Amino acid sequence: MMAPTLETPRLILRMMEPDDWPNYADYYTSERSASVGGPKSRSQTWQQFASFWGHWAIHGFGRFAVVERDTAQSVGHVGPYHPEGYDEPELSWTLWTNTAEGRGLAYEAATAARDWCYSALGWTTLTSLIDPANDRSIALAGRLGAAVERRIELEGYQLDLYRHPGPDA
Amino acid sequence: MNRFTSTFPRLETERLILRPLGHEDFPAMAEFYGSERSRFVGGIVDPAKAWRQLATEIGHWTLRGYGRFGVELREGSSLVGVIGPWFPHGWPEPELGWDLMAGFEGKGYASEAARATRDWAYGSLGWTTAISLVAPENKASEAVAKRLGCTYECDIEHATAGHVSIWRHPGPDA
Repeated sequence: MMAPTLETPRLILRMMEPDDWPNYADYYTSERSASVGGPKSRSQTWQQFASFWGHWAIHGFGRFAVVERDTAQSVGHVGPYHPEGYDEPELSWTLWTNTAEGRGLAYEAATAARDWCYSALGWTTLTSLIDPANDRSIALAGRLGAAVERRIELEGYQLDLYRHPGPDA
Repeated sequence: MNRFTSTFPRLETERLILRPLGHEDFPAMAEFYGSERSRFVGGIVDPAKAWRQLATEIGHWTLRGYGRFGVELREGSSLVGVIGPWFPHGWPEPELGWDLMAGFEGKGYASEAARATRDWAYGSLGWTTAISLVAPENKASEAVAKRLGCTYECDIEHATAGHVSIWRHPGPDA
Protein backbone atom coordinates (compact mmCIF):
# COMPACT_ATOMS: atom_id res chain seq x y z
CA MET A 1 0.00 0.00 0.00
CA MET A 2 1.13 3.51 -0.75
CA ALA A 3 0.27 6.60 1.23
CA PRO A 4 -2.84 8.54 0.39
CA THR A 5 -2.46 12.30 0.01
CA LEU A 6 -3.68 14.35 2.96
CA GLU A 7 -4.27 18.07 2.72
CA THR A 8 -4.21 20.77 5.37
CA PRO A 9 -4.41 24.55 4.94
CA ARG A 10 -0.69 24.97 4.40
CA LEU A 11 0.58 21.44 3.83
CA ILE A 12 0.34 18.37 1.68
CA LEU A 13 1.17 15.03 3.27
CA ARG A 14 2.10 12.45 0.66
CA MET A 15 4.21 9.35 0.05
CA MET A 16 7.92 10.04 0.26
CA GLU A 17 9.43 10.35 -3.22
CA PRO A 18 12.98 9.65 -4.39
CA ASP A 19 13.34 13.38 -5.15
CA ASP A 20 12.93 14.13 -1.43
CA TRP A 21 16.38 12.61 -0.88
CA PRO A 22 18.47 15.84 -0.88
CA ASN A 23 16.28 17.52 1.74
CA TYR A 24 16.11 14.40 3.89
CA ALA A 25 19.86 13.81 3.57
CA ASP A 26 20.65 17.40 4.57
CA TYR A 27 18.56 16.89 7.68
CA TYR A 28 19.90 13.52 8.78
CA THR A 29 23.53 14.45 8.23
CA SER A 30 23.07 17.63 10.33
CA GLU A 31 23.01 18.28 14.06
CA ARG A 32 19.24 18.77 13.81
CA SER A 33 18.91 14.98 13.88
CA ALA A 34 20.76 14.61 17.20
CA SER A 35 17.57 13.90 19.15
CA VAL A 36 16.65 10.99 16.87
CA GLY A 37 19.97 9.15 16.63
CA GLY A 38 21.82 11.40 14.16
CA PRO A 39 23.79 12.84 12.63
CA LYS A 40 24.57 9.95 10.30
CA SER A 41 26.73 9.51 7.22
CA ARG A 42 25.03 9.99 3.85
CA SER A 43 25.29 6.26 3.20
CA GLN A 44 23.64 5.37 6.50
CA THR A 45 21.02 8.03 5.83
CA TRP A 46 20.25 6.54 2.40
CA GLN A 47 19.56 3.13 3.93
CA GLN A 48 17.23 4.78 6.42
CA PHE A 49 15.55 6.76 3.62
CA ALA A 50 14.92 3.51 1.72
CA SER A 51 13.24 2.02 4.78
CA PHE A 52 10.33 4.49 4.46
CA TRP A 53 8.96 2.46 1.52
CA GLY A 54 9.68 -0.83 3.22
CA HIS A 55 7.70 0.27 6.26
CA TRP A 56 4.68 1.05 4.07
CA ALA A 57 5.04 -2.25 2.22
CA ILE A 58 5.32 -4.27 5.42
CA HIS A 59 2.59 -2.57 7.47
CA GLY A 60 0.32 -0.79 5.03
CA PHE A 61 0.99 2.44 6.88
CA GLY A 62 3.99 4.61 7.57
CA ARG A 63 5.32 8.12 7.64
CA PHE A 64 4.38 10.77 5.11
CA ALA A 65 6.53 13.46 3.57
CA VAL A 66 5.39 16.92 4.70
CA VAL A 67 5.30 19.33 1.78
CA GLU A 68 4.71 23.06 2.03
CA ARG A 69 2.08 24.16 -0.46
CA ASP A 70 3.73 27.55 -1.06
CA THR A 71 7.14 26.24 -2.02
CA ALA A 72 6.30 22.66 -3.02
CA GLN A 73 9.33 21.68 -0.93
CA SER A 74 9.38 18.71 1.42
CA VAL A 75 10.23 20.05 4.88
CA GLY A 76 9.72 17.06 7.14
CA HIS A 77 8.06 13.74 7.77
CA VAL A 78 5.17 12.76 9.98
CA GLY A 79 3.03 9.76 10.67
CA PRO A 80 2.70 6.39 12.32
CA TYR A 81 5.95 4.49 12.80
CA HIS A 82 6.15 0.90 14.01
CA PRO A 83 9.51 -0.76 13.52
CA GLU A 84 10.35 -4.08 15.17
CA GLY A 85 11.01 -3.61 18.88
CA TYR A 86 8.28 -1.02 19.50
CA ASP A 87 5.41 -2.29 21.61
CA GLU A 88 2.90 -0.21 19.65
CA PRO A 89 2.92 2.32 16.84
CA GLU A 90 3.99 5.84 17.60
CA LEU A 91 3.07 9.08 15.89
CA SER A 92 6.34 10.72 14.95
CA TRP A 93 6.99 14.17 13.56
CA THR A 94 10.16 15.80 12.32
CA LEU A 95 10.87 19.08 10.60
CA TRP A 96 14.05 19.00 8.55
CA THR A 97 15.09 22.67 8.65
CA ASN A 98 15.25 25.55 11.08
CA THR A 99 13.18 27.71 8.73
CA ALA A 100 10.27 25.27 8.90
CA GLU A 101 10.09 25.68 12.67
CA GLY A 102 8.09 28.12 14.77
CA ARG A 103 5.12 28.37 12.41
CA GLY A 104 2.94 25.57 13.71
CA LEU A 105 3.65 23.32 10.73
CA ALA A 106 4.52 20.28 12.86
CA TYR A 107 1.26 20.71 14.78
CA GLU A 108 -0.71 20.98 11.55
CA ALA A 109 0.99 17.90 10.10
CA ALA A 110 0.74 15.80 13.26
CA THR A 111 -2.94 16.60 13.69
CA ALA A 112 -3.72 15.51 10.13
CA ALA A 113 -1.68 12.32 10.49
CA ARG A 114 -3.30 11.47 13.82
CA ASP A 115 -6.77 12.02 12.38
CA TRP A 116 -5.85 9.68 9.50
CA CYS A 117 -4.69 6.95 11.92
CA TYR A 118 -8.00 7.13 13.74
CA SER A 119 -10.31 7.51 10.75
CA ALA A 120 -8.61 5.47 8.00
CA LEU A 121 -6.76 2.85 10.05
CA GLY A 122 -9.39 2.61 12.77
CA TRP A 123 -6.91 2.96 15.59
CA THR A 124 -8.24 3.79 19.04
CA THR A 125 -5.05 5.00 20.68
CA LEU A 126 -1.66 6.40 19.75
CA THR A 127 1.65 7.11 21.45
CA SER A 128 4.63 9.33 20.77
CA LEU A 129 8.16 8.61 22.00
CA ILE A 130 10.08 11.74 22.90
CA ASP A 131 13.60 12.46 24.08
CA PRO A 132 13.17 14.14 27.52
CA ALA A 133 15.60 16.87 26.38
CA ASN A 134 13.64 17.70 23.21
CA ASP A 135 11.76 20.77 24.44
CA ARG A 136 10.14 21.57 21.09
CA SER A 137 8.67 18.10 20.73
CA ILE A 138 7.49 18.08 24.33
CA ALA A 139 5.70 21.40 23.75
CA LEU A 140 4.06 20.05 20.62
CA ALA A 141 2.93 16.89 22.42
CA GLY A 142 1.28 19.17 24.97
CA ARG A 143 -0.46 21.16 22.25
CA LEU A 144 -1.72 17.89 20.80
CA GLY A 145 -3.19 16.98 24.18
CA ALA A 146 -0.80 14.08 24.77
CA ALA A 147 0.44 13.33 28.29
CA VAL A 148 3.41 11.38 29.63
CA GLU A 149 2.51 7.84 30.56
CA ARG A 150 5.92 6.43 31.52
CA ARG A 151 9.65 6.52 30.89
CA ILE A 152 10.93 3.72 28.67
CA GLU A 153 14.30 2.52 27.45
CA LEU A 154 14.52 1.77 23.76
CA GLU A 155 17.64 0.80 21.82
CA GLY A 156 19.80 2.41 24.48
CA TYR A 157 17.82 5.67 24.69
CA GLN A 158 15.71 6.91 27.59
CA LEU A 159 12.43 8.15 26.12
CA ASP A 160 9.15 9.42 27.48
CA LEU A 161 6.09 7.62 26.16
CA TYR A 162 3.27 10.10 25.55
CA ARG A 163 -0.31 8.95 25.12
CA HIS A 164 -2.53 10.93 22.74
CA PRO A 165 -6.20 11.59 23.27
CA GLY A 166 -8.27 8.93 21.50
CA PRO A 167 -10.50 9.44 18.48
CA ASP A 168 -13.53 10.36 20.59
CA ALA A 169 -11.76 12.97 22.69
CA MET B 1 3.11 -9.15 -0.73
CA ASN B 2 0.83 -6.18 -1.31
CA ARG B 3 -0.20 -3.72 -3.99
CA PHE B 4 3.13 -1.94 -3.71
CA THR B 5 5.53 -4.85 -4.01
CA SER B 6 3.23 -6.70 -6.43
CA THR B 7 4.59 -4.38 -9.13
CA PHE B 8 8.06 -5.85 -8.65
CA PRO B 9 9.24 -8.54 -11.10
CA ARG B 10 9.43 -12.26 -10.40
CA LEU B 11 12.03 -14.61 -11.81
CA GLU B 12 12.09 -18.39 -12.04
CA THR B 13 14.87 -20.91 -12.37
CA GLU B 14 14.90 -24.68 -12.57
CA ARG B 15 14.48 -25.09 -8.83
CA LEU B 16 13.77 -21.61 -7.48
CA ILE B 17 11.30 -18.76 -7.45
CA LEU B 18 12.61 -15.22 -6.97
CA ARG B 19 9.89 -12.88 -5.73
CA PRO B 20 9.56 -9.62 -3.81
CA LEU B 21 10.59 -9.55 -0.16
CA GLY B 22 7.80 -8.87 2.30
CA HIS B 23 6.57 -8.97 5.84
CA GLU B 24 6.46 -12.77 5.85
CA ASP B 25 10.24 -12.88 5.44
CA PHE B 26 10.95 -11.14 8.72
CA PRO B 27 11.32 -14.24 10.94
CA ALA B 28 13.88 -15.77 8.56
CA MET B 29 15.73 -12.46 8.21
CA ALA B 30 15.82 -12.00 11.99
CA GLU B 31 17.19 -15.51 12.46
CA PHE B 32 19.81 -14.99 9.76
CA TYR B 33 20.96 -11.60 11.08
CA GLY B 34 21.02 -12.92 14.62
CA SER B 35 23.24 -15.85 13.67
CA GLU B 36 26.87 -16.47 12.79
CA ARG B 37 25.81 -16.74 9.15
CA SER B 38 25.52 -12.95 8.94
CA ARG B 39 28.93 -12.12 10.36
CA PHE B 40 30.37 -11.26 6.93
CA VAL B 41 27.40 -9.16 5.81
CA GLY B 42 26.72 -6.69 8.61
CA GLY B 43 25.67 -9.03 11.43
CA ILE B 44 25.34 -10.16 14.09
CA VAL B 45 22.49 -7.76 14.93
CA ASP B 46 19.25 -7.80 16.91
CA PRO B 47 15.77 -8.31 15.39
CA ALA B 48 15.13 -4.54 15.37
CA LYS B 49 18.08 -3.99 13.04
CA ALA B 50 17.12 -7.00 10.93
CA TRP B 51 13.67 -5.48 10.49
CA ARG B 52 15.19 -2.20 9.32
CA GLN B 53 17.38 -4.12 6.90
CA LEU B 54 14.28 -5.80 5.47
CA ALA B 55 12.57 -2.41 5.13
CA THR B 56 15.66 -1.00 3.43
CA GLU B 57 15.83 -3.94 1.00
CA ILE B 58 12.24 -3.22 -0.07
CA GLY B 59 12.80 0.54 -0.37
CA HIS B 60 15.93 -0.07 -2.44
CA TRP B 61 13.56 -1.17 -5.21
CA THR B 62 11.82 2.20 -5.14
CA LEU B 63 15.00 4.23 -5.14
CA ARG B 64 16.96 2.20 -7.70
CA GLY B 65 14.28 0.42 -9.70
CA TYR B 66 15.78 -2.90 -8.70
CA GLY B 67 16.87 -4.71 -5.58
CA ARG B 68 17.34 -8.09 -4.01
CA PHE B 69 14.75 -10.84 -4.27
CA GLY B 70 13.37 -13.22 -1.73
CA VAL B 71 14.22 -16.71 -2.97
CA GLU B 72 12.21 -19.82 -2.23
CA LEU B 73 11.99 -23.35 -3.59
CA ARG B 74 9.52 -24.00 -6.42
CA GLU B 75 7.79 -26.66 -4.36
CA GLY B 76 7.37 -24.13 -1.56
CA SER B 77 9.66 -23.44 1.37
CA SER B 78 10.68 -20.87 3.89
CA LEU B 79 13.07 -18.17 2.71
CA VAL B 80 16.09 -19.73 0.99
CA GLY B 81 18.02 -16.53 0.50
CA VAL B 82 18.09 -12.83 -0.25
CA ILE B 83 19.78 -12.51 -3.61
CA GLY B 84 20.20 -10.01 -6.42
CA PRO B 85 21.31 -6.54 -7.45
CA TRP B 86 22.28 -4.21 -4.62
CA PHE B 87 23.56 -0.66 -4.92
CA PRO B 88 23.00 1.44 -1.82
CA HIS B 89 24.45 4.94 -1.57
CA GLY B 90 28.23 4.90 -1.23
CA TRP B 91 28.70 1.44 -2.77
CA PRO B 92 31.72 1.18 -5.11
CA GLU B 93 29.50 0.00 -8.01
CA PRO B 94 26.31 -2.01 -8.42
CA GLU B 95 26.83 -5.50 -7.07
CA LEU B 96 25.10 -8.85 -7.01
CA GLY B 97 24.68 -10.04 -3.46
CA TRP B 98 23.68 -13.38 -2.00
CA ASP B 99 22.72 -14.17 1.56
CA LEU B 100 21.78 -17.81 2.10
CA MET B 101 19.64 -18.87 5.04
CA ALA B 102 20.62 -21.76 7.32
CA GLY B 103 19.74 -25.20 6.02
CA PHE B 104 19.98 -24.34 2.33
CA GLU B 105 23.77 -24.47 1.94
CA GLY B 106 25.67 -26.83 -0.31
CA LYS B 107 22.97 -27.30 -2.94
CA GLY B 108 23.96 -24.62 -5.44
CA TYR B 109 20.95 -22.45 -4.69
CA ALA B 110 22.97 -19.24 -4.22
CA SER B 111 24.70 -19.53 -7.60
CA GLU B 112 21.50 -20.60 -9.36
CA ALA B 113 19.60 -17.59 -8.05
CA ALA B 114 22.49 -15.17 -8.49
CA ARG B 115 22.94 -16.26 -12.11
CA ALA B 116 19.25 -15.57 -12.78
CA THR B 117 19.51 -12.10 -11.27
CA ARG B 118 22.71 -11.45 -13.26
CA ASP B 119 20.94 -12.40 -16.48
CA TRP B 120 18.09 -10.08 -15.46
CA ALA B 121 20.46 -7.22 -14.64
CA TYR B 122 22.19 -7.58 -18.01
CA GLY B 123 19.04 -8.25 -20.00
CA SER B 124 16.44 -5.99 -18.39
CA LEU B 125 18.42 -3.38 -16.48
CA GLY B 126 21.09 -2.90 -19.13
CA TRP B 127 24.03 -3.48 -16.84
CA THR B 128 27.29 -3.96 -18.75
CA THR B 129 29.29 -5.27 -15.80
CA ALA B 130 28.72 -6.45 -12.23
CA ILE B 131 30.78 -7.02 -9.12
CA SER B 132 30.26 -8.90 -5.91
CA LEU B 133 31.80 -7.90 -2.60
CA VAL B 134 33.01 -10.86 -0.56
CA ALA B 135 34.78 -10.82 2.80
CA PRO B 136 38.14 -12.58 2.31
CA GLU B 137 37.37 -15.02 5.14
CA ASN B 138 34.00 -15.92 3.66
CA LYS B 139 35.14 -18.99 1.74
CA ALA B 140 31.62 -20.27 1.09
CA SER B 141 30.70 -17.03 -0.63
CA GLU B 142 33.99 -16.96 -2.51
CA ALA B 143 33.17 -20.42 -3.86
CA VAL B 144 29.84 -19.08 -5.15
CA ALA B 145 31.66 -16.21 -6.89
CA LYS B 146 34.02 -18.67 -8.58
CA ARG B 147 31.16 -20.91 -9.62
CA LEU B 148 29.60 -17.86 -11.27
CA GLY B 149 32.78 -17.31 -13.28
CA CYS B 150 33.90 -14.24 -11.33
CA THR B 151 37.53 -13.22 -11.23
CA TYR B 152 39.25 -11.65 -8.27
CA GLU B 153 40.00 -7.96 -8.83
CA CYS B 154 41.31 -6.38 -5.60
CA ASP B 155 40.70 -5.85 -1.90
CA ILE B 156 39.19 -2.57 -0.64
CA GLU B 157 38.45 -0.92 2.68
CA HIS B 158 34.85 0.22 2.63
CA ALA B 159 33.13 2.43 5.22
CA THR B 160 30.04 0.22 5.40
CA ALA B 161 31.14 -3.13 4.03
CA GLY B 162 34.51 -3.21 5.80
CA HIS B 163 37.49 -5.07 4.32
CA VAL B 164 36.14 -6.86 1.26
CA SER B 165 37.35 -8.37 -1.99
CA ILE B 166 35.88 -7.23 -5.29
CA TRP B 167 35.00 -10.12 -7.59
CA ARG B 168 34.17 -9.19 -11.20
CA HIS B 169 31.48 -11.10 -13.05
CA PRO B 170 31.73 -12.13 -16.69
CA GLY B 171 30.02 -9.48 -18.84
CA PRO B 172 26.77 -9.85 -20.75
CA ASP B 173 28.52 -11.11 -23.89
CA ALA B 174 30.66 -13.69 -22.12
